[in-house]
Amino acid sequence: MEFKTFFTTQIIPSFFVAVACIAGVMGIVGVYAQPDASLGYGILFSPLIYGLLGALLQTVHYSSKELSPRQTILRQLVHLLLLEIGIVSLVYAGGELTGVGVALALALSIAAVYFAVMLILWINDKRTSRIFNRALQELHHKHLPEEK
Amino acid sequence: MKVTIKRIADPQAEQVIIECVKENPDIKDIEAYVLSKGTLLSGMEDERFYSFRLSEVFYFEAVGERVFAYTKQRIFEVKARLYVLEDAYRDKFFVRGSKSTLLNLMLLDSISPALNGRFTAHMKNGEKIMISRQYAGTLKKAVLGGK
Repeated sequence: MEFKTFFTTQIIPSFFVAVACIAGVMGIVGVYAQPDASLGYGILFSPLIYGLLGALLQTVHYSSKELSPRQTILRQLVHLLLLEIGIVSLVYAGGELTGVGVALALALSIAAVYFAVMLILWINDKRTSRIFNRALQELHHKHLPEEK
Repeated sequence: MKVTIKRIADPQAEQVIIECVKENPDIKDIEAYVLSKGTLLSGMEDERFYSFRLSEVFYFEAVGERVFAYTKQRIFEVKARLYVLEDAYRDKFFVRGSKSTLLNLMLLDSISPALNGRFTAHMKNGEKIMISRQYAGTLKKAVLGGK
């Protein structure tokens, strides 16, 4: 696969899904953890920055050759690890990492968002395969006399 | 539609003649089906050449410079490049599943999602073949059309 195709078919959709998920998780956590917090407009950029970081790190999955299922799983884990390091480092650099507990909670949240994105994409693919299989049966029914 | 079968002795002279008022999509489907059934390929197995029907091929696979045709129980090496086979048999329901495979849609049982936007093709002989994300769109288009 060319990198341009990889960028448009994988990185861009992942960016939007990640931004939506991060904004959702931030909202839910915020409502329960700090319901009275007053935040500036700057906070709106957070999901975009983190989403961009996550999507760009997805280049880990790029390969001009076909990856085996094992290689794919390995790259998923490397991707998650890089995300954890990248995001925790960004938060630490911003001076918002107040302790180990916060760092652990953040790491868990990142993993939760990561698996949520994977689950959403998988559910979408499951739906696609259901539609595909139905159409395939119709195609067989139409063209294979023994299936009529 | 009336069907007449006339028995002949020479296998080389076997043919199907379609008599129709107009070439509508049904006629085209019958033509495509007959062509896929009738196409004979030759391939090598254990240094001997054999003939086999295209309709028996579950998939073609390119391994390096060599291309293999997988039937239910046998594997033949065919002397053709994968892209040539793809062009030649596109109208006979052969579609790319990945950079190295060409699948027979008529012998594809179903697909299921795999990791990272890829799909697994479950062939009717029980084999599982990876469909890459790059070619998943082409495969979907071949089956779903504009849906």
